Amino acid sequence: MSVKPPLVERVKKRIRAPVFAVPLLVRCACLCALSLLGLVACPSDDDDDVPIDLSGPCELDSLAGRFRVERQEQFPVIDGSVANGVVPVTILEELEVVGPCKLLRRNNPFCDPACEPNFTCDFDGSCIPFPENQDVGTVTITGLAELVEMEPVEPGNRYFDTSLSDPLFQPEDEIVLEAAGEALDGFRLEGIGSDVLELAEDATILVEEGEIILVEWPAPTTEVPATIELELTIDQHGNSPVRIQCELEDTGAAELPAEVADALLNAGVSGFPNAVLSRRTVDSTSAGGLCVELVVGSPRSPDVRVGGHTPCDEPDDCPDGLTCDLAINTCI
Amino acid sequence: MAYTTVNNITSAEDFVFDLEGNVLSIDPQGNLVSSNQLGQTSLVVPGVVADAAGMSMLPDGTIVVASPATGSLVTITPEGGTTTLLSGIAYPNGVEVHRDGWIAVSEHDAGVVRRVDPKTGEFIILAEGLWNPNGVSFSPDYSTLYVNSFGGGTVHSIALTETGAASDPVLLGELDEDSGTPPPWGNDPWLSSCDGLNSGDSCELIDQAGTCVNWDGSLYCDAPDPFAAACASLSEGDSCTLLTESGTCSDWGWGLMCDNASWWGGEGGGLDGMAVDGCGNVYVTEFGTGKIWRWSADGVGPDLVAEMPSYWIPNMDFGVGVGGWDTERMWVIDRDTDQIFGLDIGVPGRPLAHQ
Repeated sequence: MSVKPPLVERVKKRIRAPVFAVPLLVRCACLCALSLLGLVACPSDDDDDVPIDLSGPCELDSLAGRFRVERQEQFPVIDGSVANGVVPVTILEELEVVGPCKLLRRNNPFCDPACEPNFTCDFDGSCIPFPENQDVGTVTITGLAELVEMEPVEPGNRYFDTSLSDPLFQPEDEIVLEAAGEALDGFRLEGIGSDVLELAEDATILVEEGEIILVEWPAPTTEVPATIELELTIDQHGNSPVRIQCELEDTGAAELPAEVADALLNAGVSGFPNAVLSRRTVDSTSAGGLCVELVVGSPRSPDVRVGGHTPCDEPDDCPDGLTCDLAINTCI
Repeated sequence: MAYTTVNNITSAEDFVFDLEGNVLSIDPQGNLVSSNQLGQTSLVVPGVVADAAGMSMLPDGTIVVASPATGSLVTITPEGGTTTLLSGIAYPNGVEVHRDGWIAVSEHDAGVVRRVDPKTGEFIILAEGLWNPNGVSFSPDYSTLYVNSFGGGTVHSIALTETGAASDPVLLGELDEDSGTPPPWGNDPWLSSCDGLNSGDSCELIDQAGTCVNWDGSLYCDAPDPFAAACASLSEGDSCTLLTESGTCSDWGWGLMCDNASWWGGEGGGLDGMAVDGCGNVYVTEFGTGKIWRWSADGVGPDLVAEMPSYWIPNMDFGVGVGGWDTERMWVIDRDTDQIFGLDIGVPGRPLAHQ
């Protein structure tokens, strides 16, 4: 027996995510080898400390491309793509802002009749060409354990490399991505390596109505201007696709206001809770009149518990007075 | 029923057996990964989709994945090239490939099942008017498509012809464990509370105030969940009241809600994944309970096949006989933890399109 999950409620709105401008002093010292190939201009010795801006993430309604340089839990990952437009359904509606967090909802645009192949539905009910990934030429990434050069993979003009050294980067590594340009003009993005986010095996985020949400992670050992991004979703199965997205200072812990838990729970819960916690830097720039970003970080997935639901695999997992119902992995 | 457990398989909504003994799936970071029974997992193609629901494999080895976040079907060639085959799908969920190469995809939020050309993305509607269609699977001779309902507790069959025509869906079976008398607010208060109203009008969802909003051509009341609100200041096991109805505050995995088994007559069962064995029996997983149900091809059932120690077993498939994935075992993925259960069914699955 299961409670019927709440149904979807969606309206047509778009959000504009804040752009974080993080001034930085980044030593520019690692590009001389590339300069010999004519790919990168080599700074003079006088430019040893070059102030740069990490421009932060793109706004969702202009986010056409993303490259990731990540030390994921199982693998080092580099991938990315740049499209010539934004898929409307990826533009999330900002329902509420609470402290450092935003409550976001995915709204599915509706077109009748349904759009033909190579088209997608916009929020005004019209079918628009589905954004296509573009060839941006050779993409080179320096500052990692090894030089990475990527060509677009057809079909789809996606860039990736699955033969990477591990660890991919170290804290304070200065990472530069350059696209040579082809169908779109070239661009340059920067990032900084940070301590890999190693969560405790039992790291858990508890979401309870009316309660502060405590998020903990190991504080960094190096001074890198990275932030912690938390994405928290309780609702699944398409019934109420709402998520919490928080940008947190990298201090090792954060207390999210109780209003965050209430906002998420009030949006409806119908499925498996999950979260991604990521220590990262984000830079962005213009490409083809839209926005492309570089994320350098280490995402991890802590367990999430919704109030009243205590997961278990054996009797000892449960608090006093409760037993483990193995059929549903829940202390009852 | 006896089962084995294989650990260190990436947690995912669905998976595909390749013919080299690997489980291919999309991990939580959106990477296409390959896992085997030795516990080894390798990266195949990073970042192919933002999220993934159903997946299947075309005869040429191309993988097709449903991406709810972008409302699209994405194909991934063996060389790693990706194409958005079709978009604008309102929560694409179950995906299965016919032996003739076309793709069946359930469109959960629109109540339809589409037949999609794997080369052009052109589609026709095979069935419509379904309630939350979720898992899909074919009969052994590929003349019938089965589709289940998440929340409706039903399995329907759709007869197919070689010309591509399809019959109206016919009820194959229905979970009856939750049968009872629907409550005063009916089976779908989110929808019925906006009957006769317009978008933007105020509505009352049982005892909660909201506004009617348009979604897919229908109006839904966007009020706070009354079932959660009724237990807001109560504890699990406490009695709760909704209008004149009494229930008990229960947590089935998504927080405390006021619940009464009799309220969900004919609507129980978060039916999820689906598979068909070589004899034509239809297997369905149930979200939240870890149960696996079986109906015969002529609708006899449901029989409870197994109750797995997990509350989310989103999909399953029979082994392909390579890499330890026995053909007479049905392999059930556990999204709760990184493992797959192998159930001794005793008969193989139907032949797959890529076999």
